[in-house]
Amino acid sequence: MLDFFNSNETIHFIITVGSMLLFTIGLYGIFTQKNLVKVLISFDIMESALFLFFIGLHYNFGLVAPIVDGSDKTFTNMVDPVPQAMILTTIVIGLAVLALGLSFGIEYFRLTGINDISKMNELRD
Amino acid sequence: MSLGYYFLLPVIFSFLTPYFRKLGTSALRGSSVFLTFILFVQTLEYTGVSLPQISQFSVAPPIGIAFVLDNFSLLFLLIFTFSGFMVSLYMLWYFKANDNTNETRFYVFFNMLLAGSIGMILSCDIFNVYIFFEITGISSYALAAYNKDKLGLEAGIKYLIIGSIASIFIVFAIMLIYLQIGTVNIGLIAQRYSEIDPKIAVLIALMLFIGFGTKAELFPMNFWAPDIYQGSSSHVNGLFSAIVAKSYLFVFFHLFYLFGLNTKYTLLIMSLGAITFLVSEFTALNQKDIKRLFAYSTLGQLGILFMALASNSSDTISGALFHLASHSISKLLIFLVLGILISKFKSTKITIVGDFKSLFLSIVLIIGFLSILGIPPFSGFIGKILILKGFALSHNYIAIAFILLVSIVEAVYFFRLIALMLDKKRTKTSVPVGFVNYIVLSVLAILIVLFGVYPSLLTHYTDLATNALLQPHSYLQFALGVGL
Repeated sequence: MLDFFNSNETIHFIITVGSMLLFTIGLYGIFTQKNLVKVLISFDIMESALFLFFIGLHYNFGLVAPIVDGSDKTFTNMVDPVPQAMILTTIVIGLAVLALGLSFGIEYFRLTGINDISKMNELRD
Repeated sequence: MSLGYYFLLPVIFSFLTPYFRKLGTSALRGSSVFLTFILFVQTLEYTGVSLPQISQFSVAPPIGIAFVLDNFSLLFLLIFTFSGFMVSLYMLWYFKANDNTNETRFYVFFNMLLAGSIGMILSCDIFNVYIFFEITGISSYALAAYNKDKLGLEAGIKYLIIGSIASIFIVFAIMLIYLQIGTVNIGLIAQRYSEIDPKIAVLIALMLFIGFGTKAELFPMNFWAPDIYQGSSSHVNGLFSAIVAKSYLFVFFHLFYLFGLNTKYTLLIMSLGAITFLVSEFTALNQKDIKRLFAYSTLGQLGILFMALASNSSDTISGALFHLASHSISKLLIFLVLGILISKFKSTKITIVGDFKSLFLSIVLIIGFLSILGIPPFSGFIGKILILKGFALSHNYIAIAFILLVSIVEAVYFFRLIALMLDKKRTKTSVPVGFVNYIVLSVLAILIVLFGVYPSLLTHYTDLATNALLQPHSYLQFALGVGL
């Protein structure tokens, strides 16, 4: 019965539904949370959902990690390495944006004592 | 020089900035002038070479990554490197006349901004476009907040949140493209875009539209832009208006025509551009803050550009590219003059344009205003008239009437500013201009007049750029690495 879970269709379905749920949670967080740190965490949840979605859909049963150790010269049965390289780059970029956002938040909090984004409304018509 | 240096040199200078600072402030400022001058001269050299040109890194495309320069990107490259050179000259004066504690931070992100925006227009790999998109994004968030004052930080936080939403949508689109076609090379995607399942293709187009449309300040995703312009320094606004917005606009329309989206979405983009133009010009009417006023004016001009660039007809697009170059120069001029006024009066109220006494500043500021407004003999007039001519040739009379009618609204606030400036009853304070600013501002003003009197100087390049955009055959050959 558990063989049902070992099919590509099932695992891809679970990954798609799960990551899209996670994406929705992140999107919900961005539009409802007031605290700047929580908003930034919501971004991270959204990004993680995308990473899981992309990596998960490129995995099929029976494939191994794309590491060449000299024994296998045929390069068959390997996962496509391009998405993983892309995701690594995107993770680094996401980290940079998160760090910059947190440092802005800290500086702003030092100046004004506000960390609520709905109260950051000095700039307006 | 390999095209890769367009990205490498600014990045190297950006990382070396702290060391230049140790050598002294003049080394720091001089290095930036030197860098932008080299880039500008190199770009001028490319105007005499047969294009497209390619620089590949390690492996030939479509597997490896490469930079491709065609006539369309050359026009943008000229605008970016020229604006960068002018701003770096202006900063020589700015940091001498004002507080320079944040000088190092400005130059780090200024050089990085050049690297990102130039990389974005040269790269022929959509994932690299995303990386350069983020480099430009991060440096512009940091530039908005580099003074670490209350308004700047608020602008930075808002920009960062909006920018992150846009970038998530772009990553999503790139992932969907890779899942469908298995490539990130723009040439291959353009060839095989029609093979994508139509429902997914709509989703991809929507995500790219949201991502790049948000950054290129298209209605309804441009509500953030005035806040950012109001919070940042005036010279940073000049950069945003002349370089950053234009680089996102480049990617938007490059992908729009390469992926064949122009057959389906022309009317949509044109009407959104028209709404952008209408809404921002009407909102600009009752602004009290001068930077915010010109933010709305920038949005309005970008609206015209969206209308004209999406129109599918070569005459209109050529006119739009002329208008784009003219708008970059004029807005840079206006924001740099406003920077001088704001640093003198320490205020951003609209009345500061009526409080200064300097014949030179008044003349160049009025040239900038009239050029944006489209009054002959300035370059903005030629840009607008070419766009209108293009619309007339494609029998789109609604667009002509619309642009002319909304331009009346634009005229109201520009003439109000000019009247304020010429008002004899106000008490005027004389403003020191600074030697370097005489050069920078007169070069910009002379260019505006020159392109207005001899438009053929620029129309030559805009026609070539339009051909490269509408018939991308040779670009695709290079992007696919055929015959390398």
